[in-house]
Amino acid sequence: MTVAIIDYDVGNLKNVETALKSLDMDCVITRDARTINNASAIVLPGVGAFADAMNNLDKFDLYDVLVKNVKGGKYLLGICLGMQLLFDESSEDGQWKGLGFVPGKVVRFEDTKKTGLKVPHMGWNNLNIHQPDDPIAKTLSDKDYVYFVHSYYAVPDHFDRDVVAYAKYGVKVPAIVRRENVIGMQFHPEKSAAVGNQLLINWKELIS
Amino acid sequence: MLTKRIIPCLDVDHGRVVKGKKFKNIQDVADPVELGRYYSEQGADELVFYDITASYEKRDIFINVVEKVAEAVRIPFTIGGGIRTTDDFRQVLMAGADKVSVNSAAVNNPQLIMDAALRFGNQCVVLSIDAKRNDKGSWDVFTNGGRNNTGIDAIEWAKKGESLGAGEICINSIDTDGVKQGYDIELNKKLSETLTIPVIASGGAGKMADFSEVLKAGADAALAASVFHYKEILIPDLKKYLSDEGLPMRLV
Repeated sequence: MTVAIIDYDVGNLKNVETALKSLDMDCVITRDARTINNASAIVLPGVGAFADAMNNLDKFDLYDVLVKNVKGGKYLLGICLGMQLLFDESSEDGQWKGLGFVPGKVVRFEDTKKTGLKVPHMGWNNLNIHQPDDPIAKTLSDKDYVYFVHSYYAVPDHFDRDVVAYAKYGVKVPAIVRRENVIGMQFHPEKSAAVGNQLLINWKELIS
Repeated sequence: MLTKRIIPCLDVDHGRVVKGKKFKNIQDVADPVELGRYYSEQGADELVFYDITASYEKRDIFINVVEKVAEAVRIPFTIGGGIRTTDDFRQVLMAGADKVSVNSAAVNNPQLIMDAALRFGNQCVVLSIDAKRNDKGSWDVFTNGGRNNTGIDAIEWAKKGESLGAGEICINSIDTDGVKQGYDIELNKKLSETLTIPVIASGGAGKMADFSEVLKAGADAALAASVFHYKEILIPDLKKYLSDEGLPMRLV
């Protein structure tokens, strides 16, 4: 079993790799189509801007590779910006098309002056479990905290269907989304201490 | 609910933690990796490592520390000290740091904040400000480890840093630093009310009530060094205390 961590020049991928390797998962950081096709699962990490990320996926001819693998049933885990890319579109500095694996859009948190909440949503927030029966969330309780850092959040078209867990920050912020083999985590599981580690273990069991 | 954060700060000189002697349960008390792992297990929400090595040629030792910390701890950590260019940002981010803190270099070249934010994202740019009260009822920005008064207003500089793309402000009060009589509450309150990005309070922690006071005044996170290093305050006790005080805390 090999996990392909997609390398498309959007931040450091090493921490994700370190976390997966500590769980005895074989992984490879790659942008090579054949390696991705041969992998048993895919991780799409990423920090930075939505447009840059989509442009880079395009530049490295990864868009079609991802679509093909996901359609073929392969598990894909999007982390942070990587989760936002799973949606149809984002309004981060313009209007940008996403990968379209989960119906919905990505929007900015409302202005601090209106909400009194600082942006980015940065730090540890607890998860509210929306679908406790989902295998990815089976170990979670609403006292579990994970580490977030983001200024945009996802608004799924089908919240009840696609949101496994959410955090509260003025609005319900989708924290774990899932549509069949496509899973997204808005927070950083690789930086979320024991809770994040357990979530990666849950994912490992799912893809095994 | 988003919690307030408790952040131990480790000063590293030639790869070793400065002040960190009274530990019992750690094999090598001055090893930043061991100490970082210990704090992480104790429930620290983030860590900060400052390279205070005077000699720039010894940078490799510190980068090696950053790499080892990234392997050993599973919470976010910030690197500061010796950051002058976006390439310096890149080097520590690639070594595994989550955020990078800039201080004097940003005062001398504010464009650095914008360049780094554009290249690596706002979330990893922490603007660290050394501030000292003046006799006009405001605060001046100091550089070079508190030796040089720039005459710049600290609140205005923080606002400018935010507009240039900093993701967080770490405000260190020179007046209260090392005195252990509490954080500069007025400064932190004013900054938290002015900015829309998170504020980390630094300088002055002596007892648990000091943390409570500054976090209630609006700071999003509180940073401290010696009270943790000398075990005067244990992080699990502190977080329990702050939680009982009504502050949102991640209890481990």
